[in-house]
Amino acid sequence: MNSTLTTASWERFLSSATYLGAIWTTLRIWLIVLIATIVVGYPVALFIGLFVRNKTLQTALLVACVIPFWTSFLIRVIAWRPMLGTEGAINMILMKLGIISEPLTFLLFSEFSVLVGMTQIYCVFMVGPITFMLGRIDVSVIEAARDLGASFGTIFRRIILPLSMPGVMVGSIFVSVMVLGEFATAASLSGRKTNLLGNIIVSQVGSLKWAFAAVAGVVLTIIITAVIALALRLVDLRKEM
Amino acid sequence: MESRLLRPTLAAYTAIFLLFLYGPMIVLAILSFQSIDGGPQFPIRDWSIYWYEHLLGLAETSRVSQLPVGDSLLRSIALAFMTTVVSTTLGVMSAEAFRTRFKGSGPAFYLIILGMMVPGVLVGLGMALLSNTLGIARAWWGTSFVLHVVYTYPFAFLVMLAIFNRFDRTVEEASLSLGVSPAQTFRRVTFPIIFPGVLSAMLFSFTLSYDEFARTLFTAGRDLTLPLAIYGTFSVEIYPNIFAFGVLTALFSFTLLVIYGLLMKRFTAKASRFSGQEDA
Repeated sequence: MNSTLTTASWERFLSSATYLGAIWTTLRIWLIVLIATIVVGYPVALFIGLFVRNKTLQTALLVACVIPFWTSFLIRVIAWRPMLGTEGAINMILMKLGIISEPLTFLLFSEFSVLVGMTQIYCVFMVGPITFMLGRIDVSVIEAARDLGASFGTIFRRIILPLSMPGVMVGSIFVSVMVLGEFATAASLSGRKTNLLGNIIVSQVGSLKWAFAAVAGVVLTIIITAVIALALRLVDLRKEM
Repeated sequence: MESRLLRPTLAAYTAIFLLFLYGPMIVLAILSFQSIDGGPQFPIRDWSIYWYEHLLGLAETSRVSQLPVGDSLLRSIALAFMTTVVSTTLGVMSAEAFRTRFKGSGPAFYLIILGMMVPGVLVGLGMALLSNTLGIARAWWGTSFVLHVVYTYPFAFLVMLAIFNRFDRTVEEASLSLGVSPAQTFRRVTFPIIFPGVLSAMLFSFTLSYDEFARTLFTAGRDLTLPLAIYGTFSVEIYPNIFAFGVLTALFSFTLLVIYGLLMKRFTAKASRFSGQEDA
């Protein structure tokens, strides 16, 4: 390795539209996946944590959410290909039902497939912490509010949502760290169209450009540190747990 | 709560969510029984187990090269086993240490947890750069192994910490006051009580290490582990043999889970028999 100190790699990184674009792509995908996991996962957590009273059923549902994690991560990613491809399951079902006449091509090898894949893989990290926090809510508090004539909307807004926020935050930290450091899902589902900072690191190491990979690594570290610092500022974890 | 309407809606939503989680795996499992002339998509031309035979090297002639899983599978299992032993031991030891507050326990706690929070690409890159600078050869049993321990150790540590939080200290004190040496006390009193936790920590370490990919990618050197071998096939066209492989690994993982479940059940049954004796 060359051991002269130089800012050449930094200059190249910061002056290239491709690499600055990767920062933007990483942030965009992170934000969309984060919101998607909250939106998709929250109702599930609400159901398991608050509406299922039976402890056995509650555990069974949580286990059902976790079981896919005991299969290989890469296999779970690749499983989306026969699902979303032009001759895939979704297109086949939609064609049989007569909803579409031509297969949808945007489903696979696009940013869409990356978003769907990541949401499916990381959603459980959101469901778990939220369910945990919702399960700790004292039911008598909700009953008291209902006896006093509060509608479910009010109860949700004033009691359930604030009490579940630490769970949302913990879930967000998990999902953020994992999505920001992602590259395999983008590499296998986007058809090389989506380049995250992780993909740049992998391809630069692949061509033995260590200094450049290190620059991308430092940028990624700064982003992750900033995101986590922000999340910890929003919620005091030690106080809430 | 207006649960008359809300409850069924949420229940249906949860069912759809589970379908979303399992759908791709189900489709993958169906397609793994594709016939020899079929591709990795629908329709199924004919049901067959050809791709399983192909994966196991039993098929005679083939236009598709075999997945390089044999050696890499052994490497992955060996690496996961090494990681399990070291991480669980470290986890138990440090959780023991954290039972009493010591100077610097706060920073030490966060330092341990950092290992599971840092993205694999970053530590992988860091380790690769470090080994380059120091002139250490990268190998799955060396550089990768270190990263796997750094990654799984926090999980083992947290599991053991949770176990020790509910630990009744008086049984240890009883043993010690009867003149049993600390080592004997750990072996005869503490360890049997914390054993379910140790088992869980081992399960976590093994499965996380067995499937770990990002941390291994830059640090494994020439010999590939299983996830790396799979990742290598992503760049070329995929065939149903990778689906067959997915089904088999899933079965392997579930076997591990079942063994864990049986051991747990057997242990808790034994424990409840003991408490039954105390009652009588």
